[in-house]
Amino acid sequence: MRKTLLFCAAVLAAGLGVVALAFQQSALGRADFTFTNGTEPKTIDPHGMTGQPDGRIGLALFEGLTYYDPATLNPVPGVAERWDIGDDGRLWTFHLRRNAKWSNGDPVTARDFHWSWKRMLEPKTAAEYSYMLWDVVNAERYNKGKLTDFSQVGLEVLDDWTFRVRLKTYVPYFLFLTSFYSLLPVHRATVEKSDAEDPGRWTLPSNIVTNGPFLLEAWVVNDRIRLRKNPGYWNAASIRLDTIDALSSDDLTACINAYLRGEADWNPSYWPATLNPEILKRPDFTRTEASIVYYYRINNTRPQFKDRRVRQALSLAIDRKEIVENVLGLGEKEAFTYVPPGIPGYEPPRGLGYDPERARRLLAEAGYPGGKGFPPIQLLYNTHEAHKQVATVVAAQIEDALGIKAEPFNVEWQAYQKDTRELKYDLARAGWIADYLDPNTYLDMWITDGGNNQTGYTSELYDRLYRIAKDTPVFVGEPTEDLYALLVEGDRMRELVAAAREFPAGSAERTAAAQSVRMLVFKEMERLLCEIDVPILPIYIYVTKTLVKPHIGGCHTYLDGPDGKKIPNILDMHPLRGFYRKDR
Amino acid sequence: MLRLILHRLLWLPLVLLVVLAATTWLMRAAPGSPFAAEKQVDREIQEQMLKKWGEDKNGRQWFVAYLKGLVRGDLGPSYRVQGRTVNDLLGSALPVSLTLGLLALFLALLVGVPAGFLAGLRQNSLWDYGSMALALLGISLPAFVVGAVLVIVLVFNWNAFPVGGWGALSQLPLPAVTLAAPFAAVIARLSRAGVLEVVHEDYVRTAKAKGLPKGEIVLKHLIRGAILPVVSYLGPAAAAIFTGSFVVEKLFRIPGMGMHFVNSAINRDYLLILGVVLVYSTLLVLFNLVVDVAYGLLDPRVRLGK
Repeated sequence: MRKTLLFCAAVLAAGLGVVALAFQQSALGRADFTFTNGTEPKTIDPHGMTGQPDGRIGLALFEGLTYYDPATLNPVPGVAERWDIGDDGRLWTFHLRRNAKWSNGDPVTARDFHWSWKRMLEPKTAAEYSYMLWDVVNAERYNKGKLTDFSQVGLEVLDDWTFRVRLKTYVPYFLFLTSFYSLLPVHRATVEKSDAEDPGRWTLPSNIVTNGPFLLEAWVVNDRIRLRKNPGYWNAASIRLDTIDALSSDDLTACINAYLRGEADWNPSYWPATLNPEILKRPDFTRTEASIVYYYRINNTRPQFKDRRVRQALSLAIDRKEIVENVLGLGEKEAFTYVPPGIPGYEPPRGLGYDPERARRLLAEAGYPGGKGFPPIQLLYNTHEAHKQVATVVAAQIEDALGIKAEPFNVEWQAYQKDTRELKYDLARAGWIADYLDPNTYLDMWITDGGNNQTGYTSELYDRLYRIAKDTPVFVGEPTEDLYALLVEGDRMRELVAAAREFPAGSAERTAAAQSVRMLVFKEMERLLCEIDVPILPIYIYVTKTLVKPHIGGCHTYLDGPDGKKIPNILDMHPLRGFYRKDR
Repeated sequence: MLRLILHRLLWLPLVLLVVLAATTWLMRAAPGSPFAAEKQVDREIQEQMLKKWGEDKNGRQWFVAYLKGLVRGDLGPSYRVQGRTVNDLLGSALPVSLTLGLLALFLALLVGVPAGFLAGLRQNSLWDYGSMALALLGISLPAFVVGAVLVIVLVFNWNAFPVGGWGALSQLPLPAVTLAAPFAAVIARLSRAGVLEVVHEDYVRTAKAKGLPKGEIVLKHLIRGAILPVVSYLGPAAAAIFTGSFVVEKLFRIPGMGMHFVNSAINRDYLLILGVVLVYSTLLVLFNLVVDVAYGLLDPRVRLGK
């Protein structure tokens, strides 16, 4: 008996020893500013980043040629202090500032950007977002292993402080890309040393070398990332926080608890939807429309959906108003078109609207009067309460309006992705978020065999318009008279093209005039998507929700727009460099 | 005894091999991939990613490569937390879960054993009914209910504890109690059953007949026999509690093993899945061995290795 007691005492003592040890390691204390960052970042190597939690950290640790001004989200000079644009918008020359430094004291030069973007494009890096650079001449071919001579890629170091980028086409949003986390530079010597010895380890706090406004002080997986102000940053005077904690947790309840108890100062929408009614009443709650669309894909390869009148009928049968008002209720907007509102210079088409009468007529014309003979439809979604509610209502609406049997069908996330990719569905829910403010980020995915098309939709006209949108300032042979005849606003496009061609090739005026042609081309593309061919069913536009403590400044739900107007932060981007404490 | 221990330890690698092979087969049979993303990447890029992470091999080559690494003590990289190896992740998560688990196990024993013994010794008394009713609650209520109630009352109403996190002593009690509750309940019921079984044994009756004082009967004769069901339960219980609880760790934001257990499966983080399975099965085998040894020490009727 005594032995047993002794044994128990020994176990207890050992246990307490472990407790003490475990705790000694992990005492960081409260940071100046703490926020819930959602799921654990996948990586803090910019070239491997794909999501918001990663991107927030990436943009705090590194600085690209340009960065997003927190108050406007306009790209402003970062490591590049100025740039020139030439050759119909295809040649960009960046002039780098001399006082940008890596955290080990090395200067940040054009060679760093050249090497980093090359790394992004190396097949062995396997960067998921490498397509961000595919507008650069030959970048896509090099990235896909079809070209091995990197000197043919349009990146050039003129000297330490001058970096030149040659693009295939005019990319009006190129400075958004140079501000984006995928195009951040990394420190060559550090990465190469790690690649040779222990791949990937250069991102650990003890090894990493960065050039951004903050340094990586600690990174405890599933707990937090601790950032500390970088005193050597060239613009350190503009940074007003000393320490930032990014808490990792994908548990919505834990996230909102941390905020409500004051253990976090900012919670960018990580809470259970069931709490919305309570949270809506809080004075520290703000919301704004987002550039995110919720929609259903239609499997265009299934025989019953091949007739576009059937697809149009489905779109006309869905009462989006009921969904946004009775199912969602947070101020979401009904979507009859695919590209969310708020993109400067872009005017979307009207879409089909809600008209069950017309839907029934179209379905009858397609050979299914009253839905007779139409096979039952399954609405595929990945298991999630919110998706279930929407799917249930959409199915009921289709059944009521068209007499087609429809039922929701859910599978786990991975299986859902597989089924969608392999076109094993009738209708499948999906969402799309903007990478940058240009219709291209929404419309390039629907070209024939586009990786994210996943509907089997294919249209010669759509593909042709897409090629024109890519090449507008140059206009080699396109658009031509036969194209105008195929378009709803063909006459208007003819006028705009003629006006743009008045200006000499390569001139800034021509680039600007071509931009309005480009926007009209996008409008015609979206018209095909949402009014004519209808391979998809847009349902609603998201809102983003934020909780931020009153003592925190710099969280811009509304941005400073041109002419002093406030415009919604539809990209839902809040660079950490902009935050500050009002009480200090 | 020594033979039993050696015997079991020799079997351990084979048990682990079978478990790992079965897990590998199951996880690779599940649809999906570690690199699945809502934004589909081009086929070429997808292939590059598979190649980079060694996922372009077929099932057998893959498993053999894994075993080769395992022999060197290298569990491979995590696909989901890039830059970290599975060794890193388990190395930082295991102490956390171990700490919390030890505390919870200690709490569970401290509450469960005395409660069960008293209930057994005073069968059909108010104490018996009361403690067994509580135990029933402890078993039936899932951790997310117990944890949520604790958070609402002790954190939001009474302001007595922080709501989560890891790194301060004040952050320990709530998750430890939540984790301990169901174990304490089971232990209480098992100890009560153990006492009831032993009370009617001949050797206890003999002790009574000899006129030994009641306290001595309980301490010298009763405990040994009555604790046996609890001891046999402690093996699997300790393995489960030390590898962490997903629900408790999520709710209280604790960077332990339980998170990896579930998230690795959801993310198809293959090497991490194998890593946690490896740790769990090893612990399970070892704790069962400890239990068997303890049996031999406690119960004179069990003589091991003969």
